[in-house]
Amino acid sequence: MRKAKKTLLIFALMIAAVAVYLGLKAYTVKVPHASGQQVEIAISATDLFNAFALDEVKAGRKFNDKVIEVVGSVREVSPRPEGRMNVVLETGDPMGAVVCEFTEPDEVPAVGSAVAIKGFCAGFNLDVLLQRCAFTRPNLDKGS
Amino acid sequence: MKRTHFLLIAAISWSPLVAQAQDKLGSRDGEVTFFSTAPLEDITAVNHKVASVFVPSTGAIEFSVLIKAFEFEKALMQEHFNENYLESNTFPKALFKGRVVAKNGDDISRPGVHAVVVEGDLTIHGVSRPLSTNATLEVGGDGKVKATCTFDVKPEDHGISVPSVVRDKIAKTVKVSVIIPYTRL
Repeated sequence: MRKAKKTLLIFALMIAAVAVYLGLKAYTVKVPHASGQQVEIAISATDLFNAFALDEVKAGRKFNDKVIEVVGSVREVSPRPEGRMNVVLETGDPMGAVVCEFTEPDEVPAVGSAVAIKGFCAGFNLDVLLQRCAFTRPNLDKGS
Repeated sequence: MKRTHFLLIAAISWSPLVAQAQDKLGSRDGEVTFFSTAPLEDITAVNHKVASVFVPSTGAIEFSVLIKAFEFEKALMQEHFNENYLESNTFPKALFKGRVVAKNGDDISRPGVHAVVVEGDLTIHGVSRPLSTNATLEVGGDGKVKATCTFDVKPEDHGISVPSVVRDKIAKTVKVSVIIPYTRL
């Protein structure tokens, strides 16, 4: 009887330890970066911008929080604080763009070059914003 | 096109608020940081994509913050922030519309560092509340302006409910810091 109680206690402690471990593991998971993610929707920068400009709510339901691959021409490259970089893609509308935020940029594309970039869509605030981006094809002009 | 987006573009491009076109200042790269201290862990998040327009001649100021653009260190925090607290699918933006008033009668369009008061309505989670806070304007000779301010927000004032299980683990007041670099439009 005493041995059974001891076994039960050890078993309960093991279960508790596993639960604490799994809970801590889930709690400390970092926000994912696009580099390790599958592309869910591929679209041109112009079409993505136009979808939000036409109906922000509908486009938000379709694109927000998803990993989007955009293809477009680089309008501007802006260095940002903490080593970040924004790659701004042409949309055909001078008032708006698709802005791709890179937290750890390993390439700097040339202005005017064609690129393919994937990132998490955060929505629309004058520009469409993709976060935690990665190049899928850094320079389409060179066929890389 | 959504109303808030249309209004901000209108303000930036041809607002009747603007007395002179050269007075308009705009930014699409403002930064908002919030910080909440709690017994279990401090929580901080940064948003690098704040859009704003400021008209020094009238003091009119507006800004728009995309809620999903707040970046957290931990995925679970970001998920809870968006899904449980701010409900960013339903309320995708926080907005501020108000006026900048010089504290000591300064001409805030002149180069220098100006202490100002910002007054207006802050809308978070679809709930608007009046806000008045001290701020600083650094006006450069090149026409660039940097606006900075810090203020406190109570989540409950904006209808953000915190589950009782974690209520004691989350601060009742969140400190918000804003840095907006303006350039002439």
